[in-house]
Amino acid sequence: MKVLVVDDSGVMRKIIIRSLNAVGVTDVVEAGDGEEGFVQFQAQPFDLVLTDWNMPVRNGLEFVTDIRRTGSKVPIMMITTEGQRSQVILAIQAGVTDYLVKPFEKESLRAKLDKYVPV
Amino acid sequence: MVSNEEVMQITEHVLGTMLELVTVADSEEVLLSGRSEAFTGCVHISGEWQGAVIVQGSPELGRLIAERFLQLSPDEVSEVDVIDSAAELTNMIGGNIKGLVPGPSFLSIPSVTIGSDFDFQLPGTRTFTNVVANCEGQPLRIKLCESKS
Repeated sequence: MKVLVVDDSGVMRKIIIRSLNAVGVTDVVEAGDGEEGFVQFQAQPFDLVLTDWNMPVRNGLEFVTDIRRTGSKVPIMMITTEGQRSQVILAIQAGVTDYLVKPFEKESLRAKLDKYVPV
Repeated sequence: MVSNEEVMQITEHVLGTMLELVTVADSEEVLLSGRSEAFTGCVHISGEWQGAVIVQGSPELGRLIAERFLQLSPDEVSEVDVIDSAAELTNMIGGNIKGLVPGPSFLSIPSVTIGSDFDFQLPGTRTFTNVVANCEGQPLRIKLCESKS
Protein backbone atom coordinates (compact mmCIF):
# COMPACT_ATOMS: atom_id res chain seq x y z
CA MET A 1 0.00 0.00 0.00
CA LYS A 2 1.35 3.40 -0.99
CA VAL A 3 0.35 6.59 0.85
CA LEU A 4 0.92 10.27 0.00
CA VAL A 5 1.26 12.60 3.01
CA VAL A 6 0.96 16.32 2.24
CA ASP A 7 1.57 18.84 5.03
CA ASP A 8 3.79 21.92 5.27
CA SER A 9 4.63 20.96 8.86
CA GLY A 10 7.48 18.49 9.11
CA VAL A 11 6.32 17.73 12.65
CA MET A 12 2.85 16.71 11.48
CA ARG A 13 4.28 14.62 8.66
CA LYS A 14 6.42 12.74 11.19
CA ILE A 15 3.43 12.16 13.49
CA ILE A 16 1.30 10.88 10.60
CA ILE A 17 4.06 8.66 9.21
CA ARG A 18 4.65 7.20 12.68
CA SER A 19 0.98 6.23 12.80
CA LEU A 20 1.14 4.79 9.29
CA ASN A 21 4.19 2.72 10.25
CA ALA A 22 2.32 1.49 13.33
CA VAL A 23 -0.45 0.04 11.13
CA GLY A 24 2.12 -1.56 8.83
CA VAL A 25 2.38 1.05 6.07
CA THR A 26 5.98 1.86 5.17
CA ASP A 27 5.65 2.96 1.54
CA VAL A 28 5.06 6.67 2.11
CA VAL A 29 5.79 9.71 -0.08
CA GLU A 30 5.91 13.19 1.50
CA ALA A 31 5.12 16.62 0.07
CA GLY A 32 5.22 20.07 1.70
CA ASP A 33 2.32 21.77 -0.11
CA GLY A 34 -0.57 21.09 -2.47
CA GLU A 35 1.41 21.86 -5.61
CA GLU A 36 4.24 19.51 -4.71
CA GLY A 37 1.66 16.96 -3.62
CA PHE A 38 -0.12 17.08 -6.98
CA VAL A 39 3.17 16.60 -8.82
CA GLN A 40 3.77 13.46 -6.74
CA PHE A 41 0.19 12.31 -7.26
CA GLN A 42 0.53 12.53 -11.03
CA ALA A 43 3.90 10.77 -11.01
CA GLN A 44 2.84 7.53 -9.32
CA PRO A 45 -0.29 5.68 -8.13
CA PHE A 46 -1.38 5.99 -4.48
CA ASP A 47 -3.87 3.97 -2.42
CA LEU A 48 -4.51 6.75 0.11
CA VAL A 49 -3.83 10.51 0.35
CA LEU A 50 -3.56 12.34 3.67
CA THR A 51 -3.50 16.13 3.44
CA ASP A 52 -3.54 19.27 5.56
CA TRP A 53 -5.79 22.21 4.57
CA ASN A 54 -3.77 25.34 5.36
CA MET A 55 -0.57 25.17 3.34
CA PRO A 56 1.46 27.65 1.29
CA VAL A 57 1.55 27.71 -2.54
CA ARG A 58 -1.55 25.52 -3.05
CA ASN A 59 -3.81 24.67 -0.13
CA GLY A 60 -5.38 21.33 0.70
CA LEU A 61 -8.80 22.18 -0.72
CA GLU A 62 -7.26 23.17 -4.07
CA PHE A 63 -5.12 20.03 -3.99
CA VAL A 64 -8.16 17.79 -3.41
CA THR A 65 -10.01 19.57 -6.24
CA ASP A 66 -7.02 18.98 -8.54
CA ILE A 67 -7.04 15.25 -7.73
CA ARG A 68 -10.78 14.85 -8.30
CA ARG A 69 -10.52 16.68 -11.63
CA THR A 70 -8.33 13.85 -12.87
CA GLY A 71 -11.22 11.45 -12.23
CA SER A 72 -9.33 9.65 -9.46
CA LYS A 73 -11.42 7.99 -6.74
CA VAL A 74 -8.48 7.53 -4.33
CA PRO A 75 -9.55 7.91 -0.67
CA ILE A 76 -8.47 11.32 0.67
CA MET A 77 -8.33 12.12 4.37
CA MET A 78 -7.99 15.75 5.43
CA ILE A 79 -6.21 16.35 8.75
CA THR A 80 -6.65 19.97 9.80
CA THR A 81 -7.50 22.47 12.52
CA GLU A 82 -10.49 23.57 10.39
CA GLY A 83 -13.20 22.05 12.58
CA GLN A 84 -16.18 24.24 11.75
CA ARG A 85 -19.15 22.48 10.13
CA SER A 86 -19.12 24.86 7.16
CA GLN A 87 -15.48 23.98 6.47
CA VAL A 88 -16.10 20.24 6.73
CA ILE A 89 -18.94 20.60 4.20
CA LEU A 90 -16.64 22.53 1.85
CA ALA A 91 -14.04 19.78 2.09
CA ILE A 92 -16.58 17.03 1.41
CA GLN A 93 -17.92 18.99 -1.57
CA ALA A 94 -14.34 19.23 -2.90
CA GLY A 95 -14.03 15.44 -2.72
CA VAL A 96 -12.59 14.61 0.71
CA THR A 97 -13.49 11.08 1.86
CA ASP A 98 -12.58 11.37 5.53
CA TYR A 99 -11.83 14.18 7.97
CA LEU A 100 -9.83 14.47 11.20
CA VAL A 101 -9.63 17.65 13.27
CA LYS A 102 -6.39 18.62 15.03
CA PRO A 103 -5.69 18.14 17.87
CA PHE A 104 -6.42 14.43 17.79
CA GLU A 105 -5.50 11.44 19.93
CA LYS A 106 -3.12 8.91 18.39
CA GLU A 107 -5.83 6.29 18.65
CA SER A 108 -8.22 8.42 16.58
CA LEU A 109 -5.79 8.62 13.68
CA ARG A 110 -4.98 4.91 13.95
CA ALA A 111 -8.69 4.05 13.90
CA LYS A 112 -9.19 6.16 10.77
CA LEU A 113 -6.17 4.58 9.06
CA ASP A 114 -7.37 1.08 9.92
CA LYS A 115 -10.35 1.66 7.62
CA TYR A 116 -8.07 2.02 4.61
CA VAL A 117 -5.23 -0.37 5.40
CA PRO A 118 -5.83 -3.93 4.19
CA VAL A 119 -5.54 -6.57 6.92
CA MET B 1 -15.84 37.64 21.70
CA VAL B 2 -13.25 35.07 22.83
CA SER B 3 -12.79 34.76 26.58
CA ASN B 4 -9.66 33.87 28.54
CA GLU B 5 -11.46 30.70 29.63
CA GLU B 6 -12.07 29.61 26.03
CA VAL B 7 -8.43 30.22 25.09
CA MET B 8 -7.34 28.28 28.17
CA GLN B 9 -9.64 25.36 27.27
CA ILE B 10 -8.23 25.20 23.74
CA THR B 11 -4.65 25.33 25.05
CA GLU B 12 -5.30 22.58 27.60
CA HIS B 13 -6.99 20.47 24.91
CA VAL B 14 -4.18 20.86 22.36
CA LEU B 15 -1.36 20.16 24.80
CA GLY B 16 -3.25 17.38 26.57
CA THR B 17 -4.52 15.56 23.48
CA MET B 18 -1.47 15.77 21.23
CA LEU B 19 1.34 15.75 23.78
CA GLU B 20 -0.16 14.43 27.02
CA LEU B 21 1.04 17.55 28.85
CA VAL B 22 -0.96 19.02 31.73
CA THR B 23 -1.63 22.75 31.49
CA VAL B 24 -3.31 24.89 34.14
CA ALA B 25 -4.18 28.56 34.29
CA ASP B 26 -1.69 30.64 36.23
CA SER B 27 -2.16 34.02 37.82
CA GLU B 28 1.47 35.00 37.90
CA GLU B 29 2.80 36.78 34.82
CA VAL B 30 6.24 35.38 34.01
CA LEU B 31 8.57 37.50 31.93
CA LEU B 32 9.48 35.40 28.91
CA SER B 33 11.06 37.97 26.64
CA GLY B 34 14.72 38.34 27.45
CA ARG B 35 15.03 34.67 28.42
CA SER B 36 17.57 32.91 26.29
CA GLU B 37 15.94 30.50 23.79
CA ALA B 38 12.37 31.34 24.80
CA PHE B 39 10.03 30.83 21.83
CA THR B 40 7.42 33.13 20.34
CA GLY B 41 5.03 31.71 17.74
CA CYS B 42 2.58 33.83 15.78
CA VAL B 43 -0.24 33.04 13.40
CA HIS B 44 -2.45 35.66 11.72
CA ILE B 45 -6.19 35.42 11.16
CA SER B 46 -7.63 37.42 8.28
CA GLY B 47 -11.11 37.81 6.85
CA GLU B 48 -14.26 38.89 8.68
CA TRP B 49 -12.11 39.16 11.81
CA GLN B 50 -8.52 40.43 11.63
CA GLY B 51 -5.90 39.69 14.24
CA ALA B 52 -3.25 37.31 15.46
CA VAL B 53 -2.60 34.60 18.01
CA ILE B 54 0.73 34.68 19.80
CA VAL B 55 2.07 31.72 21.78
CA GLN B 56 5.13 32.20 23.98
CA GLY B 57 6.91 29.66 26.14
CA SER B 58 10.06 29.08 28.10
CA PRO B 59 13.10 27.36 26.53
CA GLU B 60 12.43 24.29 28.67
CA LEU B 61 8.85 24.10 27.43
CA GLY B 62 9.99 24.48 23.82
CA ARG B 63 12.27 21.50 24.22
CA LEU B 64 9.62 19.44 26.02
CA ILE B 65 7.10 20.10 23.23
CA ALA B 66 9.66 19.02 20.62
CA GLU B 67 10.48 15.86 22.61
CA ARG B 68 6.80 14.89 22.77
CA PHE B 69 5.84 15.81 19.21
CA LEU B 70 8.85 14.09 17.64
CA GLN B 71 9.37 11.36 20.25
CA LEU B 72 12.98 12.34 20.83
CA SER B 73 15.14 12.02 23.93
CA PRO B 74 16.13 15.35 25.55
CA ASP B 75 19.68 15.25 24.13
CA GLU B 76 18.40 14.62 20.59
CA VAL B 77 16.33 17.84 20.38
CA SER B 78 17.78 20.50 18.08
CA GLU B 79 16.83 24.16 17.71
CA VAL B 80 15.11 23.33 14.40
CA ASP B 81 13.01 20.71 16.21
CA VAL B 82 11.95 23.34 18.76
CA ILE B 83 11.06 25.84 16.01
CA ASP B 84 9.06 23.26 14.00
CA SER B 85 7.25 22.04 17.10
CA ALA B 86 6.45 25.55 18.36
CA ALA B 87 5.11 26.37 14.87
CA GLU B 88 2.79 23.36 14.94
CA LEU B 89 1.64 24.17 18.48
CA THR B 90 0.90 27.77 17.42
CA ASN B 91 -0.93 26.53 14.33
CA MET B 92 -3.14 24.19 16.34
CA ILE B 93 -3.98 26.73 19.06
CA GLY B 94 -4.51 29.48 16.47
CA GLY B 95 -6.58 27.24 14.22
CA ASN B 96 -8.89 26.29 17.05
CA ILE B 97 -9.23 29.91 18.20
CA LYS B 98 -10.10 30.85 14.60
CA GLY B 99 -13.22 28.73 14.99
CA LEU B 100 -14.43 31.11 17.72
CA VAL B 101 -14.02 34.43 15.90
CA PRO B 102 -16.48 35.74 13.29
CA GLY B 103 -15.95 34.07 9.91
CA PRO B 104 -15.26 33.39 7.20
CA SER B 105 -11.61 33.84 8.08
CA PHE B 106 -8.28 32.40 7.07
CA LEU B 107 -5.24 31.26 9.01
CA SER B 108 -1.71 32.22 7.97
CA ILE B 109 1.30 29.94 8.03
CA PRO B 110 2.87 30.19 11.52
CA SER B 111 6.12 32.02 12.19
CA VAL B 112 8.42 31.35 15.15
CA THR B 113 11.24 33.31 16.74
CA ILE B 114 13.67 31.89 19.29
CA GLY B 115 16.16 33.86 21.31
CA SER B 116 16.52 36.54 23.92
CA ASP B 117 17.51 39.80 22.26
CA PHE B 118 14.28 40.82 20.56
CA ASP B 119 11.02 42.59 21.24
CA PHE B 120 7.94 41.18 19.52
CA GLN B 121 5.38 43.79 18.43
CA LEU B 122 2.24 43.70 16.28
CA PRO B 123 1.62 47.33 15.32
CA GLY B 124 -1.99 48.35 14.79
CA THR B 125 -3.40 45.73 17.13
CA ARG B 126 -4.73 45.66 20.66
CA THR B 127 -4.45 42.70 23.02
CA PHE B 128 -7.87 41.64 24.25
CA THR B 129 -7.11 38.18 25.56
CA ASN B 130 -3.97 37.40 27.51
CA VAL B 131 -3.81 33.96 29.07
CA VAL B 132 -1.00 33.04 31.41
CA ALA B 133 -0.63 29.31 31.98
CA ASN B 134 1.65 26.75 33.50
CA CYS B 135 2.46 23.66 31.47
CA GLU B 136 4.29 20.97 33.45
CA GLY B 137 5.84 23.69 35.62
CA GLN B 138 6.89 25.87 32.68
CA PRO B 139 5.43 29.28 31.80
CA LEU B 140 3.26 29.63 28.71
CA ARG B 141 1.39 32.69 27.46
CA ILE B 142 -1.28 32.91 24.76
CA LYS B 143 -2.32 36.33 23.47
CA LEU B 144 -5.10 37.17 21.08
CA CYS B 145 -4.55 40.51 19.36
CA GLU B 146 -7.25 42.25 17.34
CA SER B 147 -6.56 44.67 14.51
CA LYS B 148 -7.67 48.21 15.41
CA SER B 149 -8.84 48.99 11.87
